[in-house]
Amino acid sequence: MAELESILIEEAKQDSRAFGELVLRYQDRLFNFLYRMTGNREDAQDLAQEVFLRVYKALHRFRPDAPFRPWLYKIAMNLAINHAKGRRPTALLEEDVPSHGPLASPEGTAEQRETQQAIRQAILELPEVYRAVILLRHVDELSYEEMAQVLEVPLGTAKVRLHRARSLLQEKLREAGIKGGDHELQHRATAHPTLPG
Amino acid sequence: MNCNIAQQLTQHFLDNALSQAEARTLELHLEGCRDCRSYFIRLERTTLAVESLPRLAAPPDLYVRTMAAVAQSAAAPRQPQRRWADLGLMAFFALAGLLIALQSGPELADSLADLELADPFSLVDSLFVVAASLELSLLAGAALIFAAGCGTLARLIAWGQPSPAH
Repeated sequence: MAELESILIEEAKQDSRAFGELVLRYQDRLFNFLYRMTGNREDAQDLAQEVFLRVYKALHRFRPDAPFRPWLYKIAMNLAINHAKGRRPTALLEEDVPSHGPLASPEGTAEQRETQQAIRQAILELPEVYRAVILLRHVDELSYEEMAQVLEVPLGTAKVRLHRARSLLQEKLREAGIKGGDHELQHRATAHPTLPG
Repeated sequence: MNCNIAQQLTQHFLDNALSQAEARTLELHLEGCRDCRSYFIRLERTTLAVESLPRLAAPPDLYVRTMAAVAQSAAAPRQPQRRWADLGLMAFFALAGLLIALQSGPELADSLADLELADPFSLVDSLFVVAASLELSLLAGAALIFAAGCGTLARLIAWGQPSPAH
């Protein structure tokens, strides 16, 4: 996988058409990340295009042994953060359609949709850096090392930021009244299936 | 264990970074602490909710637009002014080197003649002596400042050109 990517990158340095393979490989993930960062499809599309263009222009300086994915996300994150500067927090107006992926389903109860809407809004209300950290880890599934590379901070600092981001997000969801009252929580916690030991 | 530590352990649990012993300690605390139990469940639920958000596909025209922009960028000459600036910088360095050679060459020859060198070791020694002479140092310093100034000028010429992204 990583080797194939390295070959693609080396080819893309020589041939702009080969660069298209990289675009196809990453466009969905990048668009999704930027959409969750901005809350707006048009902005996400414009930013994704800009990210790819910047990558293309700087590709000749990219070392073959360097990890590509953190570099790509670093450019995307920085662009999204700059884009958000001076703007008011985004209010969601649109539904997540069309969607794909193992967890995406066009069906779903009104309650599920409401919960998803609240989560999307809560993510958008996080400070940009925390928003990015949550998305990088829990949506784009970057490793902690990759996350630290994107943020350009030590591994421990990256983890601390993720912890802070999670705490802020659960706080916002609690304020938004997302279901999961203490009675239900007590019931679940007494027989929690995933806690080891 | 106090609640702050329990909440930290909850975060580590979500990072899959808890040892068995830590997990057992956390579990014991959660059994007796309603607040931390609520925090644990809320945090885990939040994480799961984020992970279950739908993944959106890129709009079909993103690829087309991106590749059009890439083709346009590939067709454009890459920073011609920057190339000229680099050439200018190289020329200035060459000139500075030439000046040093012209100025110090005869002095060097005289110095070497004065030393009446007999073998390679004394030649090396004498070169150090000559290089350390005040006159040559001043000359070299002036040439370096001159070259640095020219380099800055060349960079200023290139200023305004878009720089590659990092």
